[in-house]
Amino acid sequence: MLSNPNYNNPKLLRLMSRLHPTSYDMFIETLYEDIEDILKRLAKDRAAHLRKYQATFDASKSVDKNKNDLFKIFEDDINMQIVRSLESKEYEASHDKFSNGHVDIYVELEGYPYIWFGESKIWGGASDIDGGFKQLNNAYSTGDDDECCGGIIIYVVDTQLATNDILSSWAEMLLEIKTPKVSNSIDDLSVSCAICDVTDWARKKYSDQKSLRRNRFNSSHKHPSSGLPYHMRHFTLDLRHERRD
Amino acid sequence: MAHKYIEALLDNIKTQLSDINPDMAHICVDITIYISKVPESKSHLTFQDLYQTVSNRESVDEDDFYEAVFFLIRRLQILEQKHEALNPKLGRYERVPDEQEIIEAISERDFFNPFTGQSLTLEEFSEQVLPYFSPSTSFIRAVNA
Repeated sequence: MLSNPNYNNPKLLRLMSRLHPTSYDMFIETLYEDIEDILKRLAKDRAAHLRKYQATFDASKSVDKNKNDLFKIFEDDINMQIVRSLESKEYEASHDKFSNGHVDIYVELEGYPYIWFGESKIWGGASDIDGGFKQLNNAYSTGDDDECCGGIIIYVVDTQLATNDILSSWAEMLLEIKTPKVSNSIDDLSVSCAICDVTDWARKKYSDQKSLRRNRFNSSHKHPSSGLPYHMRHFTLDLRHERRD
Repeated sequence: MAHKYIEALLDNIKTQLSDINPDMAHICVDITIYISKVPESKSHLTFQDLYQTVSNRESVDEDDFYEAVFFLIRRLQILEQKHEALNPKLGRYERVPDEQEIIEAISERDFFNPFTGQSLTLEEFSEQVLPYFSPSTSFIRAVNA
């Protein structure tokens, strides 16, 4: 027997919200819950993903000149898995769709004007993430109301760093990015509907680093075209089979 | 013809779901096989009815089950979601006059009885407005072709 197949079941309400959002905020809120679920599932199955690509990683260690190409194949495969998982949840999702540049993960919902863009990268240092961040903020979106959110997903594969340290490193670089279009002050990196915004996150970091319990943060940046805030969520996906000590 | 249509449908489910969520794929397959047998006679299936078609498996995760039902509705369009509500004047449940109105009520969390217009709490709405499912017209046509 199902425990509760009626509409006072939060699971059912959430599914209905996903299929029939009444606003862009509702679309984003539900999408983020779904992305978190998908990332958890991928992390849980990380041994299988890594087995599949063990040869790729082994090769990358001995043939440095091909490392980026090999990691790109891995990135694309994980992107496709995220896209297909989103499709199984009734989103219209695609990988490498052209929207003033090739977007890693493009998400919309049939019958609605809402769009979300995602950029992904295997962690190789904060400067590697910066390219995706700039594409996301400056190129893909018009910054209009129905496409004013995007995300960065950092795949953690080939590093001994903890995911928290990776986010810390990336957030610090984000705060220091000096372009006329992007704020470089902590106070200006304000966030709406944030669960753990970059401002609070940065403050917590300096007062009590252990207080950060979620491996994600949100940030907002001035969109170069619209001049309006563009909201980003920064996720990590830890795919390492063996964690660091 | 019908056999080939169902086979293609099952292949489609496996292709789309088996490697990303095998449990959800199994649930979709079980429900599809169930509704493909005399589909015109299955015009009023509740969540419990659909769950019983898959509950023979060792364990069925409820999240996967609900995801599977909505996958069959939205992605494959072989099921249709409908609602019935308590009509107090007649003292029985009847199909709601406007499905879209119910969808909007749920999305906006603005609950009411569609026959009286009376505002309801979520608890009252859950008792008075019930979802059910039917094989879609196109599915029935394809199975009976």
